[in-house]
Amino acid sequence: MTKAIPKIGSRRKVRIGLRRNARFSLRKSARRITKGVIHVQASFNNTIITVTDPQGRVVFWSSAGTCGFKSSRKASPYAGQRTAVDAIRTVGLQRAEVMVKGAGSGRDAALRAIAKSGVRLSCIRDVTPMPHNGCRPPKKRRL
Amino acid sequence: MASEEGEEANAASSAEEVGRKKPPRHKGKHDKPKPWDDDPNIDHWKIEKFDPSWNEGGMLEVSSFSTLFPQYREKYLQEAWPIVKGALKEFGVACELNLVEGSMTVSTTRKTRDPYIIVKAKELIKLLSRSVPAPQAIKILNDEMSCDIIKIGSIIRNKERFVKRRERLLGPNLSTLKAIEILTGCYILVQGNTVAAMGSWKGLKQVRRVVEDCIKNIKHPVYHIKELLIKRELAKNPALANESWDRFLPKFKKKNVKQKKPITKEKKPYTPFPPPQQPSKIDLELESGEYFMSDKKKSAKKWQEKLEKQSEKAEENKRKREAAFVPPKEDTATPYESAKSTSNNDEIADMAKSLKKKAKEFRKSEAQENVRLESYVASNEGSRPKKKHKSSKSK
Repeated sequence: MTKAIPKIGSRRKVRIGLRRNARFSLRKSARRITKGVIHVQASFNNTIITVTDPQGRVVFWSSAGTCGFKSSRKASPYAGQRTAVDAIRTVGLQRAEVMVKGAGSGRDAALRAIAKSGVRLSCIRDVTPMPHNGCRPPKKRRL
Repeated sequence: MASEEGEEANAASSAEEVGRKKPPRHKGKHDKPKPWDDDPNIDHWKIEKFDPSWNEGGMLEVSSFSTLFPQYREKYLQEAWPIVKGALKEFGVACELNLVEGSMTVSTTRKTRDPYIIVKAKELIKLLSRSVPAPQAIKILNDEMSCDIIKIGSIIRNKERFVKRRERLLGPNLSTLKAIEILTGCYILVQGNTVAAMGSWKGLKQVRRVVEDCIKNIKHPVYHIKELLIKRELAKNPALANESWDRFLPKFKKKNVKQKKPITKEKKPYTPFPPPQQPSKIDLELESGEYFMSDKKKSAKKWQEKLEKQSEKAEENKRKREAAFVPPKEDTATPYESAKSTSNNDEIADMAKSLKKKAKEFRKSEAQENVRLESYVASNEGSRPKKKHKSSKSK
């Protein structure tokens, strides 16, 4: 039998009676961990950074969109850097493993920002999904 | 004066209103204006150069990437490996070429400071295995350079169409590919079922669009080149920076026109009169009298004609066959005698001709003498036709 993941406090009870603006502050009070995994998903349009514990449970996530970047700027290296700093500062990691997915312009800036912020990187893994001629591509768009 | 005072009062009231106005409300915290939105000092697209002091501890564990390469690439890689090794050593990355397995491996060392360099090294070995020349592939280690591999093999099933469209991407004498390379600032290598591109992010995005549109038969690369040229010119004009460029770009409309083979006709000299009407099939039948024949007679006539043709052909063929068995005529007489005989023959022929001529003249003169008047003067008896009277029988 697989162990059930213990709940870390019931969020529903806390949320009742809170104002709408106060809800956003809940995200910032994420649990702090010293060791974890940083998932960097860099696409051509955005950069999403997810911090998980070693078991893979999400602790905190951030993206270029949530950091206040709009439209094409979400894909910029600067946006990737800001997103990484935002995610790490909140969690307070000391040691981390990095998993890079995708080939966007934000991944190199994000990785360097992680290193700059003082997190000791154990290893870097590339987990970009590569189809071995898997799915049929979508039908061509008509102009 | 009064009017001036009134104006001043209005101005004051409007100023108060502006002061009272609250800043625009934003729905969520993400919509609030950020310091980097309009800061001119921040370049969003500039990649900050890595400083080794940022990561003095280095990597805690070894990260390594390996890739296989084809056998035909082995010789070149052996020659170019010292250059690759030297380039990676600067960044503190170890590399290994395994000729037994046919693989290349890159891994971090204790000297590695930049965490992203291992990803760059992985891209380097991937490009080397894909037939990119070593000096070109080493450029990927620069911060501004990145690479993209576009899979075009799975886009289209039909092999012939795929080859045709891939050649369309290359263009005559690789002219189209070179034009795309210049306009996007990328290095492009079309090989087999994939296209490898190296360059800046913006350039790679453009290359991907051009390649995919070409292979999917959405838009010809020439139209993309035209568009990129116009965009390049528009980018130089600062006045158009905040305007939409749609009105300057060409409107591409796909036309599925079937190409007809041109029929070349010989031009005849112009005449104002129309050509004479050609006789119809019925007219021709009326002329020959076939029109009034019965079907049996028509078919019999056709059959007869067919038989005649066959017999003619048979005779001709027989003559040809027998010609092989006819022996050639041999001249037994001496050359002097044969010459003499030919001269005699000529004389006889001349005599015969002259005699015939004389006989003809004699006949003509005789005919002129024997002309009778009766033949020219019509007689009453001869000219009157005889009538047959039918006796009508009365009952």
